[in-house]
Amino acid sequence: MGASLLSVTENLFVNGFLMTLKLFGMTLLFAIPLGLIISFGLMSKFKPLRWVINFLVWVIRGTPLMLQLIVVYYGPGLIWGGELLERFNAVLIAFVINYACYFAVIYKGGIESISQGQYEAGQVLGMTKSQIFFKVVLLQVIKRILAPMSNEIITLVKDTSLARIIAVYEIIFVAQDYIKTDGIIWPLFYTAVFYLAFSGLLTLLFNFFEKKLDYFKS
Amino acid sequence: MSILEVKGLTKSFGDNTVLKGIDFTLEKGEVLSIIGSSGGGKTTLLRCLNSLEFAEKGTITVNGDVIFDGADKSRRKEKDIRLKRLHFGLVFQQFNLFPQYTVTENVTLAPRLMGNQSKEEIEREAQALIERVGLSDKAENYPCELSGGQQQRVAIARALAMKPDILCFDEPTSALDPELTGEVLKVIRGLKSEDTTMIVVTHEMGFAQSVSDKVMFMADGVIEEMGTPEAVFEKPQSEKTKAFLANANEK
Repeated sequence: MGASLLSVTENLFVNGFLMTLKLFGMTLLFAIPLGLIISFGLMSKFKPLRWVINFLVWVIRGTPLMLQLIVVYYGPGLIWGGELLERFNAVLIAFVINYACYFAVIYKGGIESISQGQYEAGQVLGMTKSQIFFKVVLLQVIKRILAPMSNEIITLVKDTSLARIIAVYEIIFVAQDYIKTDGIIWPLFYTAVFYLAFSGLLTLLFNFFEKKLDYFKS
Repeated sequence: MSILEVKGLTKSFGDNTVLKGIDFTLEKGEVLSIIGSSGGGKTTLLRCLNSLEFAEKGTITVNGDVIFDGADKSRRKEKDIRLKRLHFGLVFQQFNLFPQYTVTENVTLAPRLMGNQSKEEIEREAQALIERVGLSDKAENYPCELSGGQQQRVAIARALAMKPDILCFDEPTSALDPELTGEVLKVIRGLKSEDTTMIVVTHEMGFAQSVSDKVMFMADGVIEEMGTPEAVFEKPQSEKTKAFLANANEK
């Protein structure tokens, strides 16, 4: 099998990068709302709940994502026996929980930075708590957390490469195969182009959102 | 029947008793100015009326309907409070406009969420209110494009959009540059009518004297003196009132 630039590009994209994108997209899809739920837990007035959620966030942020992947994949089988999770599902669960915790802390900071006066203005106008959150506070929070969220989301692009630890065929895994099958290493270096292109695209997207929300100051 | 009757309102923050049994009544269409030094309990009184704070003791009665009773803690459900506070409107010292909405959207948001009126009706009333505060040419601007005085005028229109029985102002000009206070006071003065009942916490003595039907002087959590502007400003009875007014005149 000859390894031309074209064939390598196609192979890396179809068999590797699409998986990377799928993991990236699905992680965001679930972690963004789950993070909001966790952030409400972090800010809960009910102390036991707050402690439990704080503990969870401490454990998740305090241990390597790579370790969490291994635990989610092998852990249930070791503890309860039976079948292992599908590899991709195990990776997705670990990523979603991990990123939701980081997002939750960012959300919490954003929500707490909104002045009490905004809530009180909504209250005296007879709005419900959820109306105040969704109609008054949320967009201001989004504006404030855009920069830290863009950091996390760009980190996620590169963290997807950790999936190879439990043999999910993402782009680095596929590129590494060339070392064994063709004895060439450049496809591995070449993966950087994919990461750079994608994170460049995300940067543009975030700049666009920032501009979009530039019309108001809060 | 008085539009507002407050009886024995008592409120503490920890060991600090901020309101020590406040009693007063207000008739429909009256303007009440509350004056006094900082820390005298003026703002806390307004916040209690608007259910942003809850007094430990006392009652608040609007149009004969007891909307708050310190002894009855069973009626503190969010929905109860939400509907009862609609008797009052509040204009804040710091405006607290919603920054992501235009002037019109700021005024229409709460009525739209309330859902009692048609869209066209809400829009029409909003434009009338915005005209009343003299900002028709700014209706599609965002708060960050307005001066402080203009923002406060929008806040007044926003509060009026909910048609409160009693409109409260918490030091509405204290956050403004001196040259901008006039336009806001003019708007408040212009609201005075048979139907509009207002309570204004203010440090603007000239305004309090000229616009009010009643003036309340608060000190250390009690109503030290209350009466017509002439009585309070020209013939104050209490030593504390005299000292406060003498001090205010020097500025």
